[in-house]
Amino acid sequence: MDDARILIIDDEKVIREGVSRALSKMGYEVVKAEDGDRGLELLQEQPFNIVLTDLMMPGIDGFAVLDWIRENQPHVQVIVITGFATVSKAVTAMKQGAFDFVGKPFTPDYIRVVVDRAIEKLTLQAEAEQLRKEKKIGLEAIDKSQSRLKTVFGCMAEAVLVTDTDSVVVHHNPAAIKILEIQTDPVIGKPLSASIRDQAAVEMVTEAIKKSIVVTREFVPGTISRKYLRAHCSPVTSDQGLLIGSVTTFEDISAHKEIDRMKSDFVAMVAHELKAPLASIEQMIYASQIGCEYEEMNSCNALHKRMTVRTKDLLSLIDNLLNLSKLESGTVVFNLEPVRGTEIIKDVIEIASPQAEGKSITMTYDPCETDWWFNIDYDHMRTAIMNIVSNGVKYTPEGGEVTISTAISGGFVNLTVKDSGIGISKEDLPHIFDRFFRVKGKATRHITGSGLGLALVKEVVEAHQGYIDVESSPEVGTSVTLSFPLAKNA
Amino acid sequence: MAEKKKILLVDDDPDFVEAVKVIVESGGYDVRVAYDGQEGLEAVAEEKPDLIVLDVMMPVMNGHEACEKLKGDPETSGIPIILLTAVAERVTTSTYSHRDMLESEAEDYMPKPVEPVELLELIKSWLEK
Repeated sequence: MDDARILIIDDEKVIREGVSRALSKMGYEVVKAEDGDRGLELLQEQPFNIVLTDLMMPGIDGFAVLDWIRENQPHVQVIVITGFATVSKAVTAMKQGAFDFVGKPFTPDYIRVVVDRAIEKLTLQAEAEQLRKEKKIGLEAIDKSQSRLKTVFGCMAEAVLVTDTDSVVVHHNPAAIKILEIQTDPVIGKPLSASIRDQAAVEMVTEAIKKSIVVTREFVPGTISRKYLRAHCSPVTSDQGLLIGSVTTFEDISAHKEIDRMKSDFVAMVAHELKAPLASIEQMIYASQIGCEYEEMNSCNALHKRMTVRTKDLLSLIDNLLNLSKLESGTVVFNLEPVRGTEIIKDVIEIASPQAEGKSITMTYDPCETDWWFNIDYDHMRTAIMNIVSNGVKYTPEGGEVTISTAISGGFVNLTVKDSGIGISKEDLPHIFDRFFRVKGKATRHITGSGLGLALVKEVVEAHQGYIDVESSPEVGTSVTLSFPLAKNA
Repeated sequence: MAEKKKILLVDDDPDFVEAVKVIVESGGYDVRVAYDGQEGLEAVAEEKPDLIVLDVMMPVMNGHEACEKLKGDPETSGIPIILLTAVAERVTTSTYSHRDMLESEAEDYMPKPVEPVELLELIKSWLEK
């Protein structure tokens, strides 16, 4: 403490000047006050480390100054100056918290020694304070990092189990109880086998500890828990390289496995859906070699015609599959624009007409009176409506009827396609939007299709915030209603 | 001229039926068709064929079921049955394995697609027995 600031309060000028001189030589900065009032004023204006004050002064005396300092600036060291006759007063001052006292008269050296001691005390105090602060920061840091680890540990989705070298559980996180479906309470302090009833899991930990290697294993549902788990078990060594236990994490991979299974199922389904028509085509190729040799040309022609149809169907199936996959992945950009309802319906009817005429099916359009618009991607919507109309024609016997009607209700337009066709049974109805689902039976035997049309329609309709409603009675007909929000201000 | 032998062909794919029909007819047989197991049994009841070519995977009643029913009935148990199976079907549905074929009471089986010459030879050999 080289730059210590010292305040000297004394009503005797000689003392003030003498102390000031003695201390200034040592490099201290000394400020003088002639009485208690001025001393307190200075204390409030400037910082001081040490105050030398006379006890007996007119006005505010040394005791009052000492009291004020102890009360307001406890870090300031006070040295009282007193005459020999009043040593008892100096003792009282010491009891009140003064650091030391100096009896008058005193030599400059003596005052220096006392002040040096005070400075030393201040320095030690400052050092102690510094250490205390550092220690506090250190402890806080440890506390924080511990609580941080605890938080991380507690929030982990993976189950974590920590064991000692005897496979006794010493720690676990909340997820462990949940994921591993542990019923034991408490888990800590007991062998792993008490909480995990799966032999392979217990052996995995033993193996990791014994061989000091990381062991990774998967557990199917019904072994450790009802979930599909992937476990990593690592041996833990101390800083000295001593094996002290193991840490095992269990990850719930049920969702991954489910997606995996769905993917495999889908691939298998696609493979089958592609292979079945190809097998038929191949069979027809075989038959046509024979048919064209032995039979009259008509069987040869018939086979060729069917081969063409089946090949085209196969290609459109692949197209539909690609479209569906694009729609589902959300990569398709819908270019929404306001479209007049009647315009798109008439467009669809025009495309579907030849198909209907070929079966002598009467196609009628029964529009509502209101001229309505909706915000749609024209191409996608036309394909969707076309699919519904085309299904109506396909599944309606010759001479039947397909009626397209519209109605406005509650900000929505209901576009209904009603046919007098073969209908859909109650059992089949819930599945018609499933991919590759096709109603099988005598009536549908000769109707070809990919089984993807309605799945596509559903994707398109939902992308336009629409709904689909299907009503059907076998042998009476089917009515499909697509509902879409109307375009505002149009 | 001896009367043409009657072959019943059962498969749910009309194009496949049509194709195999052309092949079998080229061998000089009288071919009748049905599109599922149930229809197949009905066709047999209506007119007893000399041999049945039966697809395994069909809706309503599959080939195995139809085969069991035919073999279980003394009236029809003597009719030779050739089961047809597609590789694709065996892969996608674990229901119909190679084992099923061996355990079946059917006289013989052939993979799909059917090789015309092989099928005709197989039919011929079973009709001669």
